[in-house]
Amino acid sequence: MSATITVDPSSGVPPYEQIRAQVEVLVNSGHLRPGTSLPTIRQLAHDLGVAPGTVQRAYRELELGGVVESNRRRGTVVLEPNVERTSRRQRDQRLQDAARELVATARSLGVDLDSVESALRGQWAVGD
Amino acid sequence: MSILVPVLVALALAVLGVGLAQIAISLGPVPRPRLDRFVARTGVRFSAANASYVLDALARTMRWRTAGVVVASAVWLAWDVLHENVNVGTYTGVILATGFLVGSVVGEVGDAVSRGSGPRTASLVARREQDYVGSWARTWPMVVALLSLVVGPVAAVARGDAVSATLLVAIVLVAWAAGRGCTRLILERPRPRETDPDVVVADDGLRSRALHAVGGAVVLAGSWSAIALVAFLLQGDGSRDGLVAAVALLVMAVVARIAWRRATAPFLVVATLGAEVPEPAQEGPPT
Repeated sequence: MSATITVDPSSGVPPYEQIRAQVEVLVNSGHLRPGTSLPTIRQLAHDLGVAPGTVQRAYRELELGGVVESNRRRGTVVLEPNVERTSRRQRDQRLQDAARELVATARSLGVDLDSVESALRGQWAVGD
Repeated sequence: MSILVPVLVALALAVLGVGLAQIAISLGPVPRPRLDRFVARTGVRFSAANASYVLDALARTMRWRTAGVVVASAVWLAWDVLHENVNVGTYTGVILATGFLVGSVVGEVGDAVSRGSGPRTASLVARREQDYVGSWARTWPMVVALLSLVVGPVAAVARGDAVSATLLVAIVLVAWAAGRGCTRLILERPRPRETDPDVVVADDGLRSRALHAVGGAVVLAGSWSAIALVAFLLQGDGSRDGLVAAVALLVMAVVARIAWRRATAPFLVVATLGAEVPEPAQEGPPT
């Protein structure tokens, strides 16, 4: 299977984020194997009809996330999927979801942030 | 004014007439044999989906390459008319090869793919030079450039003519640099918007054809300049100048033959988007 990505300029998500997210999914799902060289910035930018700076930013974000590494000889290369990194992201995502639910519940009950914080500390102490 | 001048002018007009006729032909439809050769060398299936894309590219490159050679011929003849001397030698070859190279490069630079709006899909497979053309296109010009950098200073000192030696070395280096830049441009230029497998395969075939043509032109211009440089080094005492020129022209003819065979050798490219072509790129025997 050939790994392809699509950028929709009319989407609310910035093009660099569309590229970053799709590449990350392809790496984590195994469709892009470790050691695979990604296209040059100009090739991908021309193919997607975006500015080279957009692809450059996506690659930089992927590099910061440990998904790829840039190398003068081989260009941008896919790294081994990092299980620890992936699970940390999933954990952070679940925490954000729980926090969103808690805030929504607190607002519907009309309680303030101090009360929420106090309740959280109480629950945290029970857990200890 | 010597009596040679009217003869030279007549010759120049005849050659320019042939050149203009060639340009007129190149402005017309792509000849069927040219299309057949492209299909045979690249394995591209010519279909309704890719017909206009392929024909546009073939017509454009044919026009520019012809124009490059015609303009180079005009430069050569104008030079000879101004100097009242018909000179068919190593420099003639260098001028014509340079014209062909310039035409090849301009023909590829002029490529335009419609962008349009809406979502666009791209393959994450890197387009690498080795997937489209053999290693000769990279190594041969580099070896010639290194050779000319060694021979150039020696020739300049030995012959006491730094201008000619520098000019020939410059042509080799500029040809090499133009080849590298054009190769990058060909590899990085956008895919057509259509994701029909026939269009994708045709796009790969046209990239391969372009890299073969530019590689061949760089080899020709660079090698002929280097041969002219070596001939320039060996000539000078008058007694063996004719022999050196004859041997140089013979070597140029052999190089031209090899470059032509390389540039027109079949080369199958793995399609990188949408098409299932499992075999790796392979270089077939020269035809």
